[in-house]
Amino acid sequence: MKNSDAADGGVEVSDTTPGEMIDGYTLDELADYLDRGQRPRDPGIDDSPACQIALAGLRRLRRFNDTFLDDEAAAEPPRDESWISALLENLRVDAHAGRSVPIAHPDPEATLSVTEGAVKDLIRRAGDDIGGVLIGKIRLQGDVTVPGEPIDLDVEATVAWGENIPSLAPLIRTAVLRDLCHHTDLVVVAADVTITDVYVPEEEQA
Amino acid sequence: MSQTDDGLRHGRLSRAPDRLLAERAGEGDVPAFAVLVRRHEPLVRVVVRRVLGSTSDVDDVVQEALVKAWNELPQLKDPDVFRAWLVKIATRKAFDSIRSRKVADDIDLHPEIGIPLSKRPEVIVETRQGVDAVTAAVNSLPDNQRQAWFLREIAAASYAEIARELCVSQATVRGLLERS
Amino acid sequence: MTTSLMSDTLAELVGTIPGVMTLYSPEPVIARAAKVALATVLRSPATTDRIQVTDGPAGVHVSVHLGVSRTQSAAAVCRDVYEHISSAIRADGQDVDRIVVKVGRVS
Repeated sequence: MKNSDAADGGVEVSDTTPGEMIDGYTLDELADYLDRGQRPRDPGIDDSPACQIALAGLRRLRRFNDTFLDDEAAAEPPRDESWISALLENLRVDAHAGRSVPIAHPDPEATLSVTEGAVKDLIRRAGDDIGGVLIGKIRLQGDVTVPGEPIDLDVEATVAWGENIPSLAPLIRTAVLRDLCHHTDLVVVAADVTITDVYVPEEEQA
Repeated sequence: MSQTDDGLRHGRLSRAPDRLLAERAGEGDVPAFAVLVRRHEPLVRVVVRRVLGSTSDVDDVVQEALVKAWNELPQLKDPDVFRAWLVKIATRKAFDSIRSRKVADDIDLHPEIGIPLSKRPEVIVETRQGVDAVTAAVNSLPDNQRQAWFLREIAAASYAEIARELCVSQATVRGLLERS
Repeated sequence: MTTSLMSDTLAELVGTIPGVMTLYSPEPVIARAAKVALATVLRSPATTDRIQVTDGPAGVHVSVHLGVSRTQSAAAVCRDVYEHISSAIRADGQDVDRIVVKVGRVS
């Protein structure tokens, strides 16, 4: 690849052709590293001046283009809601279904269940309903496919700045346990709620 | 605490950061994914349109990319980079779509096969034929690594950047920059 | 009653049960797409079975994939749907092999 003139702010990944290695790394690998936010740290890249130069070049290329494309995107008209609804309806509901949580019934011909995905829908609803809370990641530990199996629940949540954080975790726990009991046959023996982040709310109409 | 109505919850969700939304969507939360779609679809549209060079297939490719993102979200290890990850998916979908088209007859390309792109003196990148020309050239590259590199970088690169990398005339580059 | 007629009948019935919001087609995407394509060629409406009804070893085998509203207990809706389907099949003079009811989403 030819060197571009410094005057037009060319990307200085210029001494290598795309197929060549930079201190043992391909441009592909370096771009991947950038994409990952440079985590986990790779001292082979971090300590290599050549790699750092290449990374700087990639960053410059992306920053220029990101701004450029972002501006263009911002000027685009929004999609109409019918297009979005059609897309959402196209999403496979079993893409993130997870395990099947059995629902008991005395009839042997009945095979009833709620998917883990639906259970998470319930948990998110219960938590979100509490003002100032947004539920994040959810983990159901234990074999949920076995009726009566004791289950440990881990829930992450983001809360609004200004909320009384210590009071929220128990509120979330209570709401979630209540809804799980109402909607499923799950036996939840432990429920850990972790507040992982705070968000700044805009004016909310009460 | 009374039940929040759906509107309030939607409002809160629509201001949540990508990270939280991507985590929820990866666990099956459709409303969270809907917010991500509204937020990032315009950029996907812009990127796909640039790669395709025309508007005819853009809607289909955008939709395919979003569906793919939904299906593969659990594989995204760092939900903070959702936007970049989505753009990458969209780019690849757009290129897949091009590869299944026929290359236009009126492309002005040197017939040398196997000569590295950067050494071709006259690859003219015009607005309409530009993407086809670049794509045909990329497809003729023997080295998979180079192809993968272009696929990644072209998504973010404006025509100006592509032209510069391909060593076209400065006038063409300036013209493209002016137009953008 | 044939299985396809039963499928339509049951789908209508299940739609009336409180808490039932959506019936998800059990067919894989490709089969569904093929049906739509064929229907377009034949210029007839594409019917996708929203409830899967087949003949099992001991009688009728039914499979339902639901989306429910949070206004009702998901477990209760599940049982409700099962009982309605079971009654409908027996009222038609047939035996029940198995009725599978799965709740895939709560909205």
